[in-house]
Amino acid sequence: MEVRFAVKSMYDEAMFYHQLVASMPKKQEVEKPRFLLPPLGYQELVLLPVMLFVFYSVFRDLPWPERAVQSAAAAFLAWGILKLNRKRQKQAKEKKAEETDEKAQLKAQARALLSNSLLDGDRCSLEFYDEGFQFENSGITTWYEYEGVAWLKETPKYVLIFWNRSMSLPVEKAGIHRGNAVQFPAFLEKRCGKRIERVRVEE
Amino acid sequence: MEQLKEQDARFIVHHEVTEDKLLHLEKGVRIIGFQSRGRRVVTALCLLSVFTFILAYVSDSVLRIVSAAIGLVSLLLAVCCLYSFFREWHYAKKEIKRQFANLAGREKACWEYRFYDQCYEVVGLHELSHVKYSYIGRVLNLSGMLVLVEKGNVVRYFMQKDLTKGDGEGLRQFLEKKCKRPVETVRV
Repeated sequence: MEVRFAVKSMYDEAMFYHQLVASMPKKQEVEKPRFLLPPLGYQELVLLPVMLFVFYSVFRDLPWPERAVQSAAAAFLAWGILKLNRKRQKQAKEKKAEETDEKAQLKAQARALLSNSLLDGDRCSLEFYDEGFQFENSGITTWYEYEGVAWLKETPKYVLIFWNRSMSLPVEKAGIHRGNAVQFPAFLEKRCGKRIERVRVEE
Repeated sequence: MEQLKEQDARFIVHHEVTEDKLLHLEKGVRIIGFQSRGRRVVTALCLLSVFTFILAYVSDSVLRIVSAAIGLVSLLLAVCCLYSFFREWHYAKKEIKRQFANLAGREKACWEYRFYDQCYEVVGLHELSHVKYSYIGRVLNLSGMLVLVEKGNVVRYFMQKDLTKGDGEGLRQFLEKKCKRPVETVRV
């Protein structure tokens, strides 16, 4: 049997972190309501009258009914733009905080898994043949057939072969020392009969 | 990679994954987790509440009220810890049953474990492993279920009655000798 691809990796925090991120179920997008009345807070109660007064003062040359209508329209428009901008900034800030918090939790989980695995710093290797692939480290040698692969995922650093829900084999892209690394994902897709799902990982 | 000769195996286990085995394993893992951490916390809280209730009984005025309050809070926290433990166990059981209901009609997952002098072999549907005994981190006996915890967070489990060659006691002694560590017994 000819080795088509050979990979060497090391167990480290990044390996477990990428596996954790790739194992997470997809976040379901929350359906935003199409139309929602803006809530009235203390900012609205203060800002709106101030803007109304400012525009009323600016349009002093107009007759008073027209002046009232135009200043009201301008004030509402200006207030609306400011509010939208503030809302976007707030949402971006909240999303960033949530992602940072989630990332920190996953990194902590990865560190714990690495520590419990007793494999920190150990090396492992994978060899891919046409019929299957072999995994080896200091204590175990396993032969896998492509038919048993459940699904495939790819992160910026690893291609992850999921054997079942709770076990995945990470293939470090930088560790491919035999075969063309660029052709590896396509080879795997063809052998396993599965499409590789790309997963975004923030380091 | 070639399979080793079956006749050379000292012990052979034919293991089929069933709902009962998963529930048994889950219960055992939770008991171990509780024994290692939760039990200390609950015991400490119970002792604190007993001590503060006694203090409340023997003292008077402000100290009595404060001690009684601390005792009550400690007791409530201990009850909360126990409630949380049983609730998580209930949800885990429900999840296992749900997963098995989804798999109904499909072929059951099964493995064969063959124990040789130099290593043990794991034969699955699309996989074959040779594992050195030094790769095992822990060996547990959960009331008739043997659990091998390998490095890399891999857990292999089977019931002693699944043995098709050899006996459970002999396997336990064999594993103690090969892994150079005692088998931890946990009552489930």
